[in-house]
Amino acid sequence: MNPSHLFRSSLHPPPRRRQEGTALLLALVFLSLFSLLGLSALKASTNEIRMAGSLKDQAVAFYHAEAGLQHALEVMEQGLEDGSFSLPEIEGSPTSPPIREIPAGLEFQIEPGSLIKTERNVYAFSSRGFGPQGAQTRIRALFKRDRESALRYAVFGDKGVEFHAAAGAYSYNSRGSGKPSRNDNDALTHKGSVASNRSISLAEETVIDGDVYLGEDAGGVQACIWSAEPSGGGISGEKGILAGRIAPDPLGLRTGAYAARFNAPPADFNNEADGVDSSLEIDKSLTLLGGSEGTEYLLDRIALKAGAVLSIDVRSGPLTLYLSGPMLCEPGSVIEVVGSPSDFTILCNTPDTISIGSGCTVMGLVYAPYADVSLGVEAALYGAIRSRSTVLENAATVFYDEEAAKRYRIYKNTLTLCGWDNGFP
Amino acid sequence: MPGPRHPMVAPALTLSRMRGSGGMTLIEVLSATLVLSLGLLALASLQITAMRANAYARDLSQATAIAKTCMEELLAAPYSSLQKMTESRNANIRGFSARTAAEPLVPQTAGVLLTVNVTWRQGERTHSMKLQSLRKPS
Repeated sequence: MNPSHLFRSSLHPPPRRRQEGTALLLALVFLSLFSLLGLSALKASTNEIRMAGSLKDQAVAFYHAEAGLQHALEVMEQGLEDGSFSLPEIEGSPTSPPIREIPAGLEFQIEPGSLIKTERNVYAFSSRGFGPQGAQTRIRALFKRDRESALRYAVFGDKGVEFHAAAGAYSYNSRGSGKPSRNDNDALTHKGSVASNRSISLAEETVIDGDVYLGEDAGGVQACIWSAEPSGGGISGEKGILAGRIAPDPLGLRTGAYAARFNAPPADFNNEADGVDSSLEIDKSLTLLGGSEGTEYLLDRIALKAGAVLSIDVRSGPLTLYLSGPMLCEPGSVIEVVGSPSDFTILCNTPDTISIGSGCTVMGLVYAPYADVSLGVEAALYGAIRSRSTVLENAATVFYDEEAAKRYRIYKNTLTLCGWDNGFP
Repeated sequence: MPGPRHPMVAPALTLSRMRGSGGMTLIEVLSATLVLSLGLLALASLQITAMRANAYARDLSQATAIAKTCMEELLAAPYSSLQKMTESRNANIRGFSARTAAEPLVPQTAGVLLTVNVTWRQGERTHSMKLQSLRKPS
C-alpha cells in the first residue's frame, strides 16, 4: 500500500474535505464584522441620544435657574417697598415665608448668602436650577436698582400741561451742542417728552419732539390728552404711554432731605458771603458764580426787569437757588448759563407762580412741583420743567437738555438684571 | 501489480470524493446562507433602530433649540405683551409645533409662568419636550 494513500484517505481529510465549513465560517466572519459595524452604529446613536437628552436636561435646568433669578428679584422688589432689601431664602426658612407659591415643577434654589455688592449700585447673587437626570446649572446674576431723574421729562405738570398754538417741546444735549433752534436737525435729539397726571392739551401746530406720558391722579384716574389736530399730529414719539401714577414731588421739597435743606439756617447758604439778597431783583444785569463745591442761595423772590440779564457761570461748579416764593421774568429778560444749563437749578417749594414773560430766554432746570409755571409768547427755556401745571403760550418753546436726565436721580423700587455669568471667574 | 489496482480504487475514491464533497457544499452553502441571512435580518433591524434613534436625537436637539428660542423670546418680550397673552400661541417651525403660554400667577402682581411645549412626530409616535420659567413683573 502506498503510504501516501493511506495518509490521505484515512489519517488526514482530503483537500476538499478540509474546506468543509468554509462558507459557514466565511458567513460567520462576515456576520461578526457586520454586527461589529452595526453595534458601533448603535453605540453612536445611543451616544447621540444621550447628548441630545443631556442638552435638553441642561436647558430645563437653565430655565429653572432663570426662574429662580426672576423669583428672587421679585421678592427683593417687594422687600424694597417694605423698606428691607435682602435675598429671599427659599428653603427651610420659617421666618420669611415665600411671598407666593412657586409653581410646581420649577426646581431652583437661591444660594444662601450669595448676595454681594460688586460695585456702586450693582449687586450679584446666584441661583441654581435642577433638571431631569441630575442636570444642574448655576447662574450668577448682576442686577441694579433702577434710578430715574426727577427731571426726566421736558415738561411735567401734575395738574396739567397746556401747549398753545405753535408751542413746542424739543430736546438737545448741552454737552454736544450749544443752544439749538427749532429746525436744527443735527442738534435735536427727539427726547422732548411731556407728561401729566391729569391732562395734556395741544393746540394747533404744536410740536412735541418726543413721547407723551399719561399718568394717573391720586384717585387712580388716568390722564387724558386733548389735541386740536385730529391725528394728534406734531408728536414725533408715542402718543400716550401709560405711566401709572407719576410722583409729583419725587425729590421731596416738603418732606424729605430737600425739605430739611430749605429749613436750614440762612448761614448754611452762600447768600451772606456773596452778598446776595434773599429777594433777588435785577434791573440790568448780574452774574452769579457756581463754586467748585456747589453754590446754594436761599431766596424768597426772583424778579427780572424787562431786558435784564442774569448770567450764571457754572464752569467751575453747579449753582442751586432754593426759592420760597414767586419768580417773575418780565418780557425780554434773559437768564443765561455759561456752561451746561443742567448745572443750574431753581428749586421752588411754594405754590407761587413762576412766570417767564414773552420773548424771554431762560436756561436751567426748574423744579417747582407746587407752582404754576407759564412761558410767555415766543419765550424759550433750555433745561427742564417739573411743575404743578405748565402753560406754554403761543410759539413758546422748551428745549430739554438731556444732561438733566443725569441730575437728581432717585432710586425706584424696581430692579433690573444687567448681566449674568456662571459665577466662576 | 499496481496496474489493475489503480482503476479499481480510483473510481470509487473519486466517486465518493465527488459525492461527499458535492453534497456537503450544497448544505454548507444553504446553512451558511441561512445563518447569514438571519444575521443580516437581525442586523437590519438593529440598523433601523439605530437610524430611528439617530433621527430622534437629531429631532430632540432641534426641538431643544426651538424651545430655547421661544423661551428667550418670551423672556425678552415687553412684559405688557405677556399680560395680553391670554391664550397659548401655536407656531409651526419645520415640522415642529411649538406651543408657548404665559399664565399669570396668583396673586396678579406675582409675574407670569412661561411654558414652552414643543411636539413633533416621528412615524407613528409623537414626542414632546417642555421648558418652564418665571418672569417678574416690570
